[in-house]
Amino acid sequence: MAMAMQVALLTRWEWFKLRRRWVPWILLGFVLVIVQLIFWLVATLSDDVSYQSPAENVANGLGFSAFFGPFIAVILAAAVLGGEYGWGTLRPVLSKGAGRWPFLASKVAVVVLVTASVLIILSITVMISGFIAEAVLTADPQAEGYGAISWIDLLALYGRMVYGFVPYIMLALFLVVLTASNGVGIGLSLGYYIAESVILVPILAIFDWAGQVFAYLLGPNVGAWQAVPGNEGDPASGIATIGGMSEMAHGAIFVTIYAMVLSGAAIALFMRRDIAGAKGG
Amino acid sequence: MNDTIIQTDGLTKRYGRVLAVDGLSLNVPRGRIFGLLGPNGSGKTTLMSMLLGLVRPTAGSFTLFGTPPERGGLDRELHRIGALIETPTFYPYLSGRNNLAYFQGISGRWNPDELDSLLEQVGLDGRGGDKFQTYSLGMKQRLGLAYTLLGDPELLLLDEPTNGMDPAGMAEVRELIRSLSGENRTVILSSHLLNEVEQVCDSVAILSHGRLIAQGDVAELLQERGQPQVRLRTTDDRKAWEILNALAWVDSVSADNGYLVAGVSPDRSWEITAALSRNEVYVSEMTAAQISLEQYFLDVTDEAAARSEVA
Repeated sequence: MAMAMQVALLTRWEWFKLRRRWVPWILLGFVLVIVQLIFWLVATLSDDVSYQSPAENVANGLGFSAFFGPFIAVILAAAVLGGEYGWGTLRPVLSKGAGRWPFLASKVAVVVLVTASVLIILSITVMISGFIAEAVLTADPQAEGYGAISWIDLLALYGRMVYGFVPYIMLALFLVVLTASNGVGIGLSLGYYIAESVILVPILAIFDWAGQVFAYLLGPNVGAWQAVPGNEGDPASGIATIGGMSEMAHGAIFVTIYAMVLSGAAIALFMRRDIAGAKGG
Repeated sequence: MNDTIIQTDGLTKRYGRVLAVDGLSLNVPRGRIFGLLGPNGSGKTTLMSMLLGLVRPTAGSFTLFGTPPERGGLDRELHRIGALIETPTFYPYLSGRNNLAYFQGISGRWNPDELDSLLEQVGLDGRGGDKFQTYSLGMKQRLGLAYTLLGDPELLLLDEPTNGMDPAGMAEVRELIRSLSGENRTVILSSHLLNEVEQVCDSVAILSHGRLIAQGDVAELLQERGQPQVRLRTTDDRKAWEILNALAWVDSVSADNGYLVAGVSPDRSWEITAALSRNEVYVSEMTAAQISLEQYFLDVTDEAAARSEVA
């Protein structure tokens, strides 16, 4: 209980610092602009969006975020911890008795909370845009499939979206602790994400035997876990599940395994590392 | 109440092939200003970092406030310590005041009044709202001192606290450190400025190559080590040299910056005057002299270096 209180205290003060930095606001602006651009592009080109219920519009907005969400989560996570190495502030923080693992846990908590908040803001703006699109584009609200996604489905999707970003957050934190560098941490994390989603996918598609590997990678499992209702089994994930379980269940298991392994590695390394040298790296 | 606030026993830290701290056994008495001296790379910062849990000892143990650190870490003890290790490093985009607010906040002792009081105490009351990145090195040091004083800690670890300060600032900090010491507060001061340490500290430990080579009260160490000396100027220093050298009760005679330095107790000053005047050499100036902490430091570190070369 005392440890949980300590993490909560540190998380509050992490936000005190983070809200005074440019990084979260730039990322928020980037997300909102990109999602609005995609929304209006789709709406004006196909009129599809105007046929959607508000919940479906938001679900689609969240679906867009699944693509760039890892970028945002990685940059934010690396920035909140990498900055401490860059500025040499780990020494004064830990000298005040913050505690190593509560400090790292507070970093995870603040990144998860900020990511979750960004998704809420994104959802609200997409919903507003949906109303505007419906009014402006005069579409038929009774079109086929209208209302297929309920608010309960949307809530579940929102939870899956946030949880699906956790392994990327932990990957970035682990790599920042490993390299004691903000830039290298971001570079390696994004490098992994890009390598997995852009380079490995076609390679694995060529070789049948390699297709099995796909089921164990982070990206495809996150994709399966974050699938928008109605889009399950999308080729974007298309993983060969183990034991005939559903793709979402398979994704949930592997997202959890990745999150636990990466967080365990990050904490173990952070607990053991000497804070020495000019920057405490 | 335990009279020893820090006790180390065979404390050792090795970085690969480099032995930064080598079997250090040290006692720091409570309520004193304790100087930690040593050349660059002697292990002072590593020692402080181990005491703060920032660096894991390779071997040995230590107690803080009379008790060994808990298995889970030093976090409870750290709330009773204010430490400034090497150059102050804070968040560049936060103001000085917000930096202090953050560190106060994570200690769970939110108290805005203390922030204003500390900024005033270290002479930053007009600049607390400015971003840390705009501060000069001297101002950063002042903010670092305010940081160490957050929560009114019992133990202060100050590593080169006057680094980058102008002479007036250094004098202010010396005065501040003196005012901070007392029955309930211990200050450990690491500094290259031996004159500063001599002026401020009650006792010192001298490290060389990670080893403790001397420890004790400043006055006692200088007295033990320092041969009693008398510095004098005369009407004929060359002749005075010969006369003093011939006296059996004068241990040595040397020249130092236009003075003759005679190895003799100041109690025998009148006998020196008498001996010289009998030979028509007259004393124009005479003072009792004691070895300085700087000279003491140089002597013991040279001896330690010579011993390690022989070994």
